Amino acid sequence: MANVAGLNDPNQTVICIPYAGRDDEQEEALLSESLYSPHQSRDLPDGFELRMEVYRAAWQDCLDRVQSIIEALNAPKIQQLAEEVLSASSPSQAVANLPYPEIPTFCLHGPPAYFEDVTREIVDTPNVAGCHLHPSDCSNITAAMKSLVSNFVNSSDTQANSKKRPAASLASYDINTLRAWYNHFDEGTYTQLMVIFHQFEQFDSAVLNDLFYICSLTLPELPFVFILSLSSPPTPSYLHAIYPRDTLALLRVKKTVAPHGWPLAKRILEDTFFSLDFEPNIMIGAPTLEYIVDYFTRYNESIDAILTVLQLTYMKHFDEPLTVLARDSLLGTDSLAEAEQKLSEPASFPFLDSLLTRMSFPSPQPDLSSQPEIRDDWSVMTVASLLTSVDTLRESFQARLRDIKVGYRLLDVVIGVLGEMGHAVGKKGKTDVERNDVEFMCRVIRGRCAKDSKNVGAVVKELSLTEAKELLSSMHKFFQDLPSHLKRKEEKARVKIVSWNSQLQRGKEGREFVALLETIGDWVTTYLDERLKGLEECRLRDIWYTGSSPFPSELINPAPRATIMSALLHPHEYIRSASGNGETSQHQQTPKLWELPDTSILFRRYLEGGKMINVYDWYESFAVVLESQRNEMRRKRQKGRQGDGGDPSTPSPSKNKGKGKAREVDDEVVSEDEGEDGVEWRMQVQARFIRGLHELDYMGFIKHTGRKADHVLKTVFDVLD
Amino acid sequence: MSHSPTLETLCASYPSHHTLLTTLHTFLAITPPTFIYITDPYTPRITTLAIKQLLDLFSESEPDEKAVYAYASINAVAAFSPRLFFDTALNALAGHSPTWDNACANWSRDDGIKYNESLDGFLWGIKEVHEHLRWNSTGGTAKRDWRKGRAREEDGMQVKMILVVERSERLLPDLVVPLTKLAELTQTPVTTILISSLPWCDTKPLLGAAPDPFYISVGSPSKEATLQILSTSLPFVSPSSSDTGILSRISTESIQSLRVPYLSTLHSVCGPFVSDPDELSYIGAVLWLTFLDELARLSTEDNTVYEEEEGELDITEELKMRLLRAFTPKFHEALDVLYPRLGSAVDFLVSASSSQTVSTLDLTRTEKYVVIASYLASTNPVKSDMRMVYRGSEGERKKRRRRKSSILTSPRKGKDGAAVKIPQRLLGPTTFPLDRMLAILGNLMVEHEEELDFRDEETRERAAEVEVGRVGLLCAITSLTQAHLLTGVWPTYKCAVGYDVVLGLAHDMGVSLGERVWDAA
Amino acid sequence: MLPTPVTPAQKNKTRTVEDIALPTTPVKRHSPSPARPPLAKRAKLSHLNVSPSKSPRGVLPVEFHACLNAQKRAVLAMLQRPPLQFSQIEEEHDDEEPMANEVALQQLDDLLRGTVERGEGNSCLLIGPRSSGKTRIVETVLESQSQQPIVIRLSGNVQTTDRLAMREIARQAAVQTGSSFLADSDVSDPTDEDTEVNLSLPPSSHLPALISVLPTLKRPTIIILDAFDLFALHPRQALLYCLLDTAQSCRVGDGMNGIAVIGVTTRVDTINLLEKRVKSRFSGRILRTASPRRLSEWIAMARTILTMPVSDGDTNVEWSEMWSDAVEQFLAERATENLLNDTFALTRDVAMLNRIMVGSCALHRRESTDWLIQMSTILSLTPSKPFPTLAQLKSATLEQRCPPRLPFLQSLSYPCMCLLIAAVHTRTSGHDVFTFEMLHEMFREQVRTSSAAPVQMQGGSVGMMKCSREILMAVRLYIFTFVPLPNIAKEFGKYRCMADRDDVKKVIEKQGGTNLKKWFSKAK
Repeated sequence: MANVAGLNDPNQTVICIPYAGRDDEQEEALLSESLYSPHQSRDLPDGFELRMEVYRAAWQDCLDRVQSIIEALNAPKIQQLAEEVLSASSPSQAVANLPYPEIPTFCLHGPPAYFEDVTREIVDTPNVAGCHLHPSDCSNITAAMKSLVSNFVNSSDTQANSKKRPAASLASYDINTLRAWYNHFDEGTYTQLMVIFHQFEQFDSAVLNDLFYICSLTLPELPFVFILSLSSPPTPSYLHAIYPRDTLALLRVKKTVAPHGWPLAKRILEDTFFSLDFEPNIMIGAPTLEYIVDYFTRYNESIDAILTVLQLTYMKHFDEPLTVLARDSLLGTDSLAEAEQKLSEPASFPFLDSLLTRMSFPSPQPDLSSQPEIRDDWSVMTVASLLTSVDTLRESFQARLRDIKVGYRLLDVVIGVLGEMGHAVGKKGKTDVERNDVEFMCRVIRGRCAKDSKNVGAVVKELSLTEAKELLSSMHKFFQDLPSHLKRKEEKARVKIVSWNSQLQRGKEGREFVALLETIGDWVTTYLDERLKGLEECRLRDIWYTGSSPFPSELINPAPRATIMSALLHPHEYIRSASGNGETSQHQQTPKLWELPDTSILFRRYLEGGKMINVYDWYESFAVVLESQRNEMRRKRQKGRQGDGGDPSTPSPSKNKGKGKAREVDDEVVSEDEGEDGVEWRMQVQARFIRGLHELDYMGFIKHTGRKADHVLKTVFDVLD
Repeated sequence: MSHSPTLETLCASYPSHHTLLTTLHTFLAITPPTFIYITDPYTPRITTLAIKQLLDLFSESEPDEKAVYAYASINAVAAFSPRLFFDTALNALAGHSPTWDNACANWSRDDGIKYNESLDGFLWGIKEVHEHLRWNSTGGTAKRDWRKGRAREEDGMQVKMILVVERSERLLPDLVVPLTKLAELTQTPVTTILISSLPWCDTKPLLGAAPDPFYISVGSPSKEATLQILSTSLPFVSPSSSDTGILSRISTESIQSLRVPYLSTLHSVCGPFVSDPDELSYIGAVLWLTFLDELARLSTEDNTVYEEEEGELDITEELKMRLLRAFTPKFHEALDVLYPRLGSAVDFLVSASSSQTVSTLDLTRTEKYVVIASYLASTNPVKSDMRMVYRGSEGERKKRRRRKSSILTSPRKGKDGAAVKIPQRLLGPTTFPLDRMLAILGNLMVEHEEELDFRDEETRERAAEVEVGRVGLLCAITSLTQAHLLTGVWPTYKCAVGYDVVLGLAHDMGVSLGERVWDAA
Repeated sequence: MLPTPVTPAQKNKTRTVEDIALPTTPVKRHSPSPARPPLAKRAKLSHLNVSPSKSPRGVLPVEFHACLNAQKRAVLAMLQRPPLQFSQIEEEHDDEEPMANEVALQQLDDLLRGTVERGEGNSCLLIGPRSSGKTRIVETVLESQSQQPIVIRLSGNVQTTDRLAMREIARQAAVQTGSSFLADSDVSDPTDEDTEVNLSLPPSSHLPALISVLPTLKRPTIIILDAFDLFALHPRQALLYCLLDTAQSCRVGDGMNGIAVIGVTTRVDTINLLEKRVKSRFSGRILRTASPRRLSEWIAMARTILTMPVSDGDTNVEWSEMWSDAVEQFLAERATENLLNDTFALTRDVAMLNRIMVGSCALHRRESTDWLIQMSTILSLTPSKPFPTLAQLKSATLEQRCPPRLPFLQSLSYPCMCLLIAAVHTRTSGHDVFTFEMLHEMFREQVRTSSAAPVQMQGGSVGMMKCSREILMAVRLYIFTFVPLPNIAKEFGKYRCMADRDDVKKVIEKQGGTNLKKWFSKAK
């Protein structure tokens, strides 16, 4: 496993060892059979590939969207920062009359990707010479200076390099070389020498102390500017914690922090799934949202994390056969006709069946409003009509989604405006803002916003004149700004508002005003209510909507150690879940020790041991168990014989041993047990012991220390069970 | 100080270096000893500056009849390899500056010869340079002979080479001895001057291999000297001409007249803490403009009385007094922020108040827990874990309290002369195995995480163990290590975050740190 | 040396004007009847109403400034290349056996003569304490040779390996003979073009060949090995072996020119460092140099130096007599003698101690110190104070004889003092090694408890303390007890305080405020 990246990197607490096939043949055979298709029962023959196609397309849309959002958010900040850096060495930036010049230094706290963007932006500008330093370059001061100088000198294509340097010339790590190089340009060719330190925390501080000092000696002549990329938070400052004052006194430090945190994440979620001008093929459900915020706040405050979660959600979603229809009903063909033909082939009948059943299946709350035409007798329905009806359903789903988005946005706007006026709308549920936002989104998706809309309406009715005006104007603006297709749809709402607005302008007072507010409030409530209906009752929604299916958190955040332990302690549960059919009865009671696979037996013994285990004692105890196991087997088989044929249904416990080897071994036991045992048996036991030992060793339960003869050190002691 | 100074002006501008300068001047004028050692623990930079100017004084002076001077000043830190040292020294002595166009060629008499590859090469280089200088000085009449030892005195023109090494405590060890006896080794009139903040007895090579230098030591700058340096380093700064405020009505002379009291106040406030004139002038330069603003504010205040008359208004004595009194706290603030460079000068100007309140760093919940747990792990003694972290019955908690108080009340001086027990918090963090930290972490989460359900007693432990083993958490440890909030490598780590920061985090998470730290402050 | 009673006597002597005319006694042979030169002087200066005998002396008349400078120049030049001791001893101690240096000079001269004139192969060791004139003897002898030999100077401090030494030999020989030999290894080849620093050294296999070439050069060769003992540390002492072997096997008259190997070292046991085979090649001749044995010699030397005749040109009779007399006055003063005596005794102790301890180069600073004293004394001569005075001598002695060990203790900023006191406290509480946090904790506690001025509160903010700690570190008031890991937080680095309690006490007494004194006094 040496080829696994980072396996030997002591800084890594987690390493992903990719699945590299089983190492014994007969499983190879099993694996290399037909292509993967989990549910033949209700799937197209090439359903998997088709769905993956659809998945890629859908995910690509989503991904592009998110990335464009991020860029849009970062661009201005980066621009501003770049300007700061580029103007750093201009005298206006520095304080006048300092006893000696300082090196302008910028600390960028944030993810490397952001840092890359910034530096690219900066270095690309003309008359700035850039130089990237990495911790590996700076093992000692000579190496550091060498890479510093040569980076600059080689960066510019100067013909002088081509000329062979005579023997007696400056060293390549001499700052004077850099000086000569800089001076040979005519005035203003390079106004700044940008030195960019990647992963600043990883540098050896002693080396950098000297480097900074040397650079500062040449300062007014060589206009250095330093950019440090730190992954540590701005406070407590790593720079101040590690570097001595003498060094700090050489620098003019300016800190900037990359945009991060929940606001960014929320923005992304909203603009991706609640944006009026973007329609993702797949709408994520409440559980995913909740998991995102949970994972975000608890484990990983990076956008990549969110992206990963989203992608996993998509993947999982497309595991369902019907989702092949997510984008269109062409089933991977070019035209509806071909799709129809494909669907009518016998091979795709299972899929067709499932689709038909789902179509005919009455949707959870049969609402007569939606699509009455499909409600008629489905038996007469042709394949073509089926596909078209899927299209219509898709359309209706998107429409519903659009409504929801409009509702969400409007509600957001109104609440925002009212909030500014100082009217608290609804109750703040949790203290932390992230949860609130997400809960709000979830309510919207689920269509549980009745309370919100009612609250809003109520508040609206209390408004004063000016407030009402303001509210209306902002609402009007909202409708004004809707993208065209929605604008047309929401036309009459807008007209209403305009009329009210004009009425308010004709300063109504007293009861009329109250009445008007009444109507407005009611309207708001009703409007929101009918917009925010939730996606649940759309038919076939599970094609476009991940709904309430939970997020597979174990995929992204497993607990390997605990899993391995419990797997070793309770192998049967894992085996059972692996072979999906839950044969139950006899395995409800915890299996006896001898019924376990070898490794588990060995592990049990291991746990009973002390701090160090004498391998031979271990072996002995193991052998005892195997002995009993052997006897049990004998007994069982005899029972099986006299009891006529026994019952094949109850599989002998040996069948449940996960380990292929173990199975064979048992067969051998069966075969040769009437034969004379003794030597072979002992060899067998030893072999099995060694195998188990190695497996435990491979899982890291054993530490070999030469300290004590034939003893090994335990790495795990009391396991909670 | 740019205009070519004389000895007098030099001494005037560096009062505290008077003796140094005069001594050196006499030496150079006559025959310098071959090895001089200058100790200046207070103002090394300024000393070097002064000496350089003095040497410039000599080398730029017309080679009248007696001697030509050539000097090289080398920073021992910058010359981190022998080759660098040799190159810099020889080029400077020969007055040669390598250019890019001739491919950074070093100086060499007849080209191609390398002086930089070994020590004796360097010695030859020195001889060559000396020859070269004599050649130039005598207009090429002097013949090349190899026994320059005496040969110099015969013809009247003598060449004097001075090698100044600053930060000489950082000099490469194998260079020290040859440098100290450079003249003897090269048979040339070269003088080595080492400048260091350390006394020679700390830096000299072993076994007395080096001859004893001529010692010169520079004392700490006196008040006058400091003020002198300050006023030279802070020339007149006009209030930025753009502002049409009240300042424009104050004559520049009267503003100028404020400088002296300004500087003296600065010195009287900050002087006790910082003796280094550089630092003082740094603070002074940064604060000057804010000082002017303050002036503007005050003068507008009392100009409200006689707003009507226009034109020049001068600074009354009492206004000056008020101004200085009002500004004194500013000096303190600046000192606390600027001297440790907690904030850069510019930031200090824009945000006139220092923003150094320890704001809790933004981490994910897990990371916060990990930091807290690792702080506990590296401050609490191992034995105490069970008691401090594992939250058992009330009884246990009480016991802990008693234990803690007993530590706090322990006398400063140990009984019967035994050493006083120093709290770990002061001794710095200790390393801890990952598993120990995870155990503490698990207990913390069990107690404080309501999101994850540790409801039922019996599976709680197990659940906690699962949570603690999650990949996300282990990744958090990695990221913390990269951010140097934790240090160390698997499987032992060490907390690199201070007490107050952790306190802030604990407050966020609702963990009461005081109960868990073994000997709290 | 001068009998003590004379000094008061000459004070109340009255002099007559006619003595002016008398030619000034040459300063060399003094042992003066102390009357006459002062006579001359008093009269001469009388119209300047200056009494030469008392310091502070009056301002020097302008016409003498040139002379003063000339004198200074002369003396300083003299100090640069101090005379060998025997130069002025004759008058005083003829009775004793000749001075060591004399002998050494004589022997070495003979030796080299043998090599240079008769082409012998010779080898010898020149052993003597630091600055006892080894090198000067060698140089003088070289000067005095009839024919200029090829002189090859090596130093154990520079040529740290045999191959370096070989190359250097080749170079020097090449330069002096003009013919670049050892061409087989491209040592002095100007056209080799490797940019990296690793040297183009001749392989050690060339060593015997190279050395054996030496006697065949057209002029006799003299090889001077400074820091001889270091060469003896080279592996297998190959160089020494070859050199000595060649020297030994170099017979007179078989067409070879002579070769002489002179080892110069301060280490008395150098001979024991030589391996058997090397030692067997060595002639065993050991010449010793020594420093003056007696204070009188010492003072005598001082006198010689001080009264160095002004080099040609601006000789001024009045001046020189005035000067020489002033010197006499100066040297005659009792305090001066005491001071010199102290130095003498002190440094002699040091020398002995070091000899015992180190067993190698004895740190023998007798004359060097003395010259430095004189030098700086001379330096501080200005027209306002033209003649050496006791005060100058004192200060010079203090500065040059034993410079302060912790110079930065002279004046400390407030935070530095606080840290120092805190450090003392930690020590008294049984911790020699401490972190900054400990000191700071202690300081905060102190500020809290003491009713100290709020100013210190300000100064005590962590930042303040930290950086002043930085300063202290920069000047090594604390040295690391063990080098901390890289990237360990600053405040937890482990330090030890070099300044002991008394140093701190002095400082606090001198500069500390009452609060600090109180605090310090608590550390018992």
